[in-house]
Amino acid sequence: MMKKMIKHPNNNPNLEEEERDWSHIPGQFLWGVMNYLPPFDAMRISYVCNSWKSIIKPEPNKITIPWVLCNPSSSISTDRIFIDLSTNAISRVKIPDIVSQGTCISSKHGWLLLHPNSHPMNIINGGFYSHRIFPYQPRVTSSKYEPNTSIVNNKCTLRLLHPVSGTVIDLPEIQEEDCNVVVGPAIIGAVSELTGKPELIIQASFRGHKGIVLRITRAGQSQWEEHRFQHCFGWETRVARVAMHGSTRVCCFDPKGRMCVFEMEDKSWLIFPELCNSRSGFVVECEDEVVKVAPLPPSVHGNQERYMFYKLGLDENGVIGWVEMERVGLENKWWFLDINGESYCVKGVGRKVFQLFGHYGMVRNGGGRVRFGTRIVSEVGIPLSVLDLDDGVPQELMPELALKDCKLGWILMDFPVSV
Amino acid sequence: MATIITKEQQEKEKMVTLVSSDSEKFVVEQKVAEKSHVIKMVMNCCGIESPIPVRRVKGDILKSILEYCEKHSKGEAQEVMEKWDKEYMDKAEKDLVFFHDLMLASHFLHIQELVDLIAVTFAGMLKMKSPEEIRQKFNINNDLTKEQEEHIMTTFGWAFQPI
Repeated sequence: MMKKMIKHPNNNPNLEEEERDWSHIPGQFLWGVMNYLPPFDAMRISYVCNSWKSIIKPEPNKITIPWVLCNPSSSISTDRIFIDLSTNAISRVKIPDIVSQGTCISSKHGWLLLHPNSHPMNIINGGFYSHRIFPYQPRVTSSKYEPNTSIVNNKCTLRLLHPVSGTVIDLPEIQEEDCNVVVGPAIIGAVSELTGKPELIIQASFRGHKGIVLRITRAGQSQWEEHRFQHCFGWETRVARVAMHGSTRVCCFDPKGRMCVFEMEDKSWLIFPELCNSRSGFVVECEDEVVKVAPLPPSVHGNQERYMFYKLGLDENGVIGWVEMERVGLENKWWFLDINGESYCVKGVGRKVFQLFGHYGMVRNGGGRVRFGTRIVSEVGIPLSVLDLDDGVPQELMPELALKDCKLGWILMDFPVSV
Repeated sequence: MATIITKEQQEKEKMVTLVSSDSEKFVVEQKVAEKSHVIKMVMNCCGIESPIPVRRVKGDILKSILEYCEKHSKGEAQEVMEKWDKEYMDKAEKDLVFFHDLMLASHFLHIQELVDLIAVTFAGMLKMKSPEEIRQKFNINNDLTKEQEEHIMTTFGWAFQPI
């Protein structure tokens, strides 16, 4: 490394005033600097230049725990708070202006999929569970989505954001034919293992009697490929959730749990009208499976919370349905749920359920108090908790945050694969 | 009398001369010079009688480093040292060229306490900055973004454009 100093000859003091090669600082020193940086800034170091990137190598086997993303709901600030729950470290990150009003609706491999409107369409009353069964449904009135006349709902451009590098990728514009149709949810369907970049984006909207339109676009395509399906009888007003089952099947759910499946290989549709006649819960994508995590009503004694776990599979009659998961299938998994129905799960240690209530300091019921089932907490209550499945006792988790009016969400912030 | 002379002699023996790359000479106590692991090893094997050349460090940097080493060899109270360190760094980080050379020199001379102090200061400069802002501040060539853009736009075919 000392050769670099020789690059700047000592006998030329005038030139020296300007020139120092910061890209080639000693690797050992740069590693030392990483120890003093919040996780987000430490991750970002490798995006400055090739030399720094070659020094900072990602840790491929690190367990990835979703981070919490705090979106201020009122201001158009370009600052976002990211909380790394594995260390409770808080990073405040500036994001590009163009995406500052977007809300994250899906996240994979460090990428966020952003919806430009402040109220994405899939947050209405949560993903898919009925209010009378879900025990901790707060009385969301003030934050309930109301179509806003100032926002054109039938038209939007989804964007991909990599918050570490600041890369923004615009997806092709989506425009619904009918102005009464709102643009439905979207997910990052797959991320390239080679490049760490999203390579499949899926979006679904419900068009009333015209049925569902599923849009798919891949890396390299400049428009959405559309697949329509008219025969989704009895569907409730909108698509609540989209999830990948394996690498080729796309499952669309309505708010009552009805499911339509699109098979990408032969471009066929399947419908499962009976599927909604079961317990309500969160739909979670989990390692190529679609899992439903159903909260049970609180027990009479104490504050224990209980969940049932089902996965999409064949039941005893050979019919596709929600099959109760065996206990062994729950081992070594952490489940991440939130009230918006955006949930993730990753491999972890132990059997824990992390619960996130979508709004922090926003949800209110009368005199500034929030009611979560049997618990009543103050307006600045704790919206994040972890529950051990062994004893069912929830623990509050929220790091101390002087934040109000934030919308919280899980995001997957794993180290990207080195390009 | 005899004992006093011995003490003086000992003290004289404990002094060492360091010569910077631009031939500036610094006479410091051995315990000050020992703060550098590299100079300590040189002194152990070559003794302290002849001047030790520090070829890769210029006079102004060596002076500042020795100032740091001297302060840190006194064993003062922690609060005093922290305050002093802060002032020392506040001054250093104002001039990025000086700061860069100080960083390299402390790394080269292996003065771990100073390397850590500089790392903390440098980390403070990187916090809350986008890669582009970091590049601008430190005048780093944007070689990665070009490659990334090429990757995104051509190699891996990311060409999402509005219809």
